[in-house]
Amino acid sequence: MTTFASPPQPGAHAGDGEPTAYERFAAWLAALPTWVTAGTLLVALVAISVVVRTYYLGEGFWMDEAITTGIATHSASAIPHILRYDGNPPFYYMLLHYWISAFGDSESDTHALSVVFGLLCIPAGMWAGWSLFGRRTGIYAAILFAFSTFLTEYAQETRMYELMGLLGIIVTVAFLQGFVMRRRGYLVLFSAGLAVMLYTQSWATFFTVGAVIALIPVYLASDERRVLLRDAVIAFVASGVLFLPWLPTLLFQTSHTAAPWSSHPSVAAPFTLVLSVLGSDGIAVALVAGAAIGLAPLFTSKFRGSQERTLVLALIILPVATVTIAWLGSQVTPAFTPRYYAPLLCATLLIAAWGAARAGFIGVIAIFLSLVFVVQLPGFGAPKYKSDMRDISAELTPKLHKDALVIVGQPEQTPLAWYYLPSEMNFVNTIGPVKDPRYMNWVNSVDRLKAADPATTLDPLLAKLKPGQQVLFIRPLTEGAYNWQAPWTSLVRRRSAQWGAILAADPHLKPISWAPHDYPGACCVADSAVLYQDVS
Amino acid sequence: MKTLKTTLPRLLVCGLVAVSVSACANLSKPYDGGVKDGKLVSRGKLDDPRIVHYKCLKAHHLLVSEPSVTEIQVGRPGVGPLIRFLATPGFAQATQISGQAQAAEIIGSAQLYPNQASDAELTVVEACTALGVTG
Repeated sequence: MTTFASPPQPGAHAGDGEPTAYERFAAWLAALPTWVTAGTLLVALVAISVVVRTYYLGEGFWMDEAITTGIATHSASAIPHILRYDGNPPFYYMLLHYWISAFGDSESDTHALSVVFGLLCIPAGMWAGWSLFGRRTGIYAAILFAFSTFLTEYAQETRMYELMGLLGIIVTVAFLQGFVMRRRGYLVLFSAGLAVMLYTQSWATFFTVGAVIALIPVYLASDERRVLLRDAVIAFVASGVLFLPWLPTLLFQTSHTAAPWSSHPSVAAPFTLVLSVLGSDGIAVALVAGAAIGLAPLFTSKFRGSQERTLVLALIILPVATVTIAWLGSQVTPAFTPRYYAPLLCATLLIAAWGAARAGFIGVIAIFLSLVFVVQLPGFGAPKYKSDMRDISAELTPKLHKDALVIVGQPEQTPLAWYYLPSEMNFVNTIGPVKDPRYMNWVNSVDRLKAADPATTLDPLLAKLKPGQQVLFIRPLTEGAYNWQAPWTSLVRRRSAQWGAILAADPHLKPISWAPHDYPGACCVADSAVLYQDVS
Repeated sequence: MKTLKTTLPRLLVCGLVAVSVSACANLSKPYDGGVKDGKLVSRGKLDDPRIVHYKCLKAHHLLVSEPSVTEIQVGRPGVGPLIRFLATPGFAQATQISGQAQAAEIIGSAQLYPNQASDAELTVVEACTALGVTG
């Protein structure tokens, strides 16, 4: 009779004596239910992420956040109409409207909504990795979502990108589960999630096209192509039908607003975009190396026709196709910036997590190294100082009179000036007088700014000034060259100088103060301000 | 010992000859900066940093002059755009913040005064001023 030595069991010890403390701990850990260990890890990651993602919670707004908050402070019934002039869909603005009603409209109040979505991405990421590729991928995905510099940055920004990141997870998982793994119940989630995404940010249209293209390898690998095709048509059409009420507004926005502040992206732009989303070159190299080593075997003949091969192809094609479509579209109407990448973050991090999980010890090293690079980044990847408008207001508000005329050189900064300056100001920008300073009217904005001759627009306003009345002229700091090459931004810089020339040459206006006196350098767009007084 | 006595003077002579020859070689070294033909010259090839902007403006058939070593005037003074170069981008920015350059666009370390120029002309002048500006 042949006997075999049994493999060591959890809790077994080499010697004859009592088990060591480590062995007892290992045995206790192994005996715990999976949900306890996973749940504990999840709680720990969320707790760490709360600290990381609230580091700059109360920092000042930049112009995009002020526009968003300004729009959300309107009545719920007015918001869809105002967004016709802004260029975005309404879902996030409606959510923010009710959030502000409940918690307030300060920077930390509104950032907190984004923090909630950012934290929800961690369990959602774990669910995504675990349900598709197993426990190890789920854990790695949760770690990557907890330390994602993209999510950390936009958790502290009053914009919809964090929500888009969360929706991206839900829709991507539903897509893979429903179409690749043929759990058809997920198709309902896919349709509903995609519709919500379309109602949250316009870039979701590119995501939709990317998802259609990502279906190609699924279709080619499928044994039931007709059923798959029928499911796909129903799922995408259902999302489209749900989006129909907003479609006329989207078409109007596309032809009249777009993003005139953006330049046509270069050939290298998609690569710099991905690097920017991952946080740094070091993080990207670590994650790409881990993913490449882990996923390379799936492209060998052994895996031809396998579900794993189809999954990895769909996961890669979804972001690549979306970015390619967006890049091509941006050659006509520019709309290409890293923050729009939010819904693709899930596919990107899932590739990294799955690859690392398959790469064994090398994968552990890759995840660890990526975390080391994240921790080295100031603010864990989030900028501290986005604009100096809050400082300008702090310096000049004590000197301002009630009826001061506030002239804003960059029209889209008017809501930011409105947010930080006292409420009894009269607002004008380089397009002309502003009725409602809480939002930016982007409709045909380049043409309107071109048509607004500085002397013709400003002279009548100056003629109406009463003796002693003040004029506060706020204009952007045009640091660098790249951000000021687009048709809109170059015109803004020029008009600011032309308006400044008229103000400086007016013999009735005397400069009495300026700000900021201590400018540390902003990540986004900062301003300078000169306060004049009518001395006639 | 005898060998050392006879070789030592020879070695000394050879050493002296070598030093002398090397000193002669030093006299014929290439010119390394100083005065040449009555003018101060440098070792390297020098370019005026404004040349890139100047060439760009000329390439667009604009009438360009140099009122001073830190300025480029496009067209007539007071009517056409004036580009004034400052020491650093930060210095240029500070002139805007403190209200000393209200009439100027700040592009890198340059102040560009649009004056009465048209939008079409300014588009070219801005692009030429932005050449080499990073960020």
